[in-house]
Amino acid sequence: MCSFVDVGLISSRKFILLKLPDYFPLYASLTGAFLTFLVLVFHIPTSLLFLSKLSIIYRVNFYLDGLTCFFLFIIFNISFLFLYYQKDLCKNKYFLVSYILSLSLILAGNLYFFTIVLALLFLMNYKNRQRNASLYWLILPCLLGFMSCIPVLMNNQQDLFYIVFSGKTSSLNLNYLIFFLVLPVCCLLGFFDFRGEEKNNLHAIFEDEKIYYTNIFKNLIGFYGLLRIFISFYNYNLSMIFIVLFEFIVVITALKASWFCLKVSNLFNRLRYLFILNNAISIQLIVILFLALYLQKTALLELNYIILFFSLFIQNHGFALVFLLNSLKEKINNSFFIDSLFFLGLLLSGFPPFAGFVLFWGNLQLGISLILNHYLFDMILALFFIGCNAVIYLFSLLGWVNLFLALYKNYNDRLTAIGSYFNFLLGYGKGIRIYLLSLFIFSVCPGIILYWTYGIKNNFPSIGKFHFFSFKSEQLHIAFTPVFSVFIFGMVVYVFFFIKKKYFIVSMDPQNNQFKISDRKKYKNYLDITRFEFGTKTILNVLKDNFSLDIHSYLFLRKKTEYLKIYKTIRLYKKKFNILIWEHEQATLFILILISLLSIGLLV
Amino acid sequence: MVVIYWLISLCIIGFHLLLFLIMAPWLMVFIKKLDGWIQGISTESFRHSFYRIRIDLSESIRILLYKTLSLKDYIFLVSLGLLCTLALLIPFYTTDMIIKGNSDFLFIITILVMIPVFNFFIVYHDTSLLSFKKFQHMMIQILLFLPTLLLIAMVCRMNVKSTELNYIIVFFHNSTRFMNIASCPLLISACSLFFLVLDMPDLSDIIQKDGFSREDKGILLYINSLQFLLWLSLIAFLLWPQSIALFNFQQESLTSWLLAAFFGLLAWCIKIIIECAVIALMRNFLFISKGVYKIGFATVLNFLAIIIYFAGLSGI
Repeated sequence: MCSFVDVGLISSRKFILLKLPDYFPLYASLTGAFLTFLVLVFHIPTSLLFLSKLSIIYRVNFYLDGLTCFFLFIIFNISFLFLYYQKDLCKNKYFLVSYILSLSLILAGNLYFFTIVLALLFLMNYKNRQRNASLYWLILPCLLGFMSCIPVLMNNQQDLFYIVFSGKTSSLNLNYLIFFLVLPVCCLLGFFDFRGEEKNNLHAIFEDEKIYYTNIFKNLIGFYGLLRIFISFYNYNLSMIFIVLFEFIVVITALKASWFCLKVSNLFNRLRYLFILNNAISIQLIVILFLALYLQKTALLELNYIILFFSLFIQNHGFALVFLLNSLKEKINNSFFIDSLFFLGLLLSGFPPFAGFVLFWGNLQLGISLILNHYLFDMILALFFIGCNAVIYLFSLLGWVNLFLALYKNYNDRLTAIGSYFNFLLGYGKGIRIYLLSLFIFSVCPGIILYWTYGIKNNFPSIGKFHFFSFKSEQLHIAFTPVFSVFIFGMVVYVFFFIKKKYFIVSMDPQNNQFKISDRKKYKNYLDITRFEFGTKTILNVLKDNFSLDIHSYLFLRKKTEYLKIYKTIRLYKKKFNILIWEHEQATLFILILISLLSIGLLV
Repeated sequence: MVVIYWLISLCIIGFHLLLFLIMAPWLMVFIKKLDGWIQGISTESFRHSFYRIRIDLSESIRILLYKTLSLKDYIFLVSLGLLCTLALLIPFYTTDMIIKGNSDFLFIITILVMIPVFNFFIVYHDTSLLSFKKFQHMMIQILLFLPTLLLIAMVCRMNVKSTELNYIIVFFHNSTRFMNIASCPLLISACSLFFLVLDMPDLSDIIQKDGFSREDKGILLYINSLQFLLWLSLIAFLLWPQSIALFNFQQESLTSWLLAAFFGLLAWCIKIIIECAVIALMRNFLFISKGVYKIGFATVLNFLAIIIYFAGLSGI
């Protein structure tokens, strides 16, 4: 609380042009964001642009496209946000190198260049102390295999240096290409970064906090790698087993992340696991896309692309702000920090009309609509999918509730002042407030983002009508309009607000001070460690109370005596059972035949 | 013509909401009466309950309008607003022009599940450990409904090809051939919802033991009854979606629509009364209404609905 950072637009006066060499990355990212914004809005054809001509002159293959522009726009925006609020990053070489590498990977027009930059990124993230360091021994061979697939892809007809993404080539070897890319992409999205026993290891936490700026870059690159290869080399012959395996990996990581959200006590780790969870759910959309192409359901593609790009845009921006706020939490006002995290939670968690809910909704709807073939295998897969997603949704909700509990534990009075958060006359933190409000507007009107993705539509197999306010596909009879629900809710609540007196005064004097959960002592790192547990233990206890079921006794039969008991009872009933069969021979035969017929009928 | 159309639709919406808000406390009174009737216990008279509801409601409204808002009242307000939006979204007796393409089954379910999550944050005001445990228990008990609810959504999607409530009504009004195949699984999944709603977390236990003021008690009970009525009306929708009239005022005459709407209203009332009777019977005579069996039965019934759908397909 000693030194406040001025979190507002007014502090931009300090940046005069003389400081340009010092803060070059900041200005560069701002201009890059502006240029990409122009390209996205006015749908400028990419053949007119400068970078595509560079490849002819200098033989360095760069490539610009609607997809690249979309990803570049996100990266420039996020890096501008980081650099503006934390000015030390302009001289931090680790951050800058990863920034430049991610930019060059997205602009790469050659698959060799692509793989080399990917390998460099993996080397940057390699740590000797890391528990899963052996994973890198698996990833590098995967990249080698990926590189070896490239000449086969083009059937050795052309010179290898001229592989460009623009031609919509189709080949049978796409299977292998994506197979080799899946493991590196999963590693980039943080699917293997689970560490359970670091509750008290504060050293590990501080080590991580240096790197979390690059978390979002890594995530974006992972998504870009999959989408780039999928969109430009699309083919309908992906094997079913591969898709099911990919789905299995994604679902297991999502379940694991949702469980770790409850287990972990540190705030930053909890946020990181929630980030991984949301990534896994949006990767599920890509898996559904693969499946839809396999089952030849092109009606699904349109809505799938819309929800995917929408969620990519809003979640990366939202989580960037979350990580930034977490880094600034000792420097900025505590109440401001807590309120803005509350609103980000509304945006990113599964609360109905906003972006997090749209992700879950789209995922479930598209997953269910895959089964309209009425084959048994599809139905079993869909049932598995829905059951897992229900559990994931449940745990993610509990994880966000847990986060709010940790935040507001010591600040009981803050929740009432939230109503005046978006009052722009308040001076403090104006920039972040505008950023958050714009994110809310985007989440309510998805048409703004979809208009920008028009440049990508040239690469799509099929795209239909354009809806500004809703997620809609008329072939599937699916529709959801977030504006409508917000409007009605606002109307209903405004009736009360209009009539009542216009000031908030909190009258809170808890009557019993003996059984208080919260401690009102304000110590320095009060946000890092949650005091009372609302995690794994409580859920197990609630299950025990609700279902009259002791999980440990049923799932982990450790005692041998229980086996012996079962064996003894079986031996006792064996004689009686034999006599019973001997007496009623015909009846038993009849029952056996009936059971088998019924079971066959059920299976059929 | 357009003006009349708009006016009638606004009238429908207003009547929807008013009917919903007025009926909610009486539902709880009716269920208590039924319980007393079955168990042979004397309950309070209708006149007494009428006065009680009037006093409670007047005091609870006074909180929202004239007092300064504390955290608790803020939460009450938000949950009331969410319930009112849901009341507009679920069609009771007619379809409106507003809900066309906006009432999604998944959306309604998630908001219904979210309301106890909101009520959980009352803990910040009332910091006793007992209330914390009770609210937590209530929240998780309702969140555990999610897998079965998603299965019901899947049944809807398979049978009627969409999860929009408006589209379901249109489907049942238009189709002739597939109607019986689609209606049977929907009926079974509606019956499975009975098992969930049956033992719904009751706020009265929390209110009696903790030190809530009388105004808070009134509004909490009101929210609980509203929530219960919404669940029941969702079941009523799935039981017999044909009874709800279509609002095609531009195509059909006014009198025919009025007749259909009146029939829909009557059907809704009868359905709610029957559901109340079924729930009272289940509470008193069904001894497996607690624990894992409740949710287990619901899931098994939904699986059965899927199997029956496939059996129906083979008959064509």
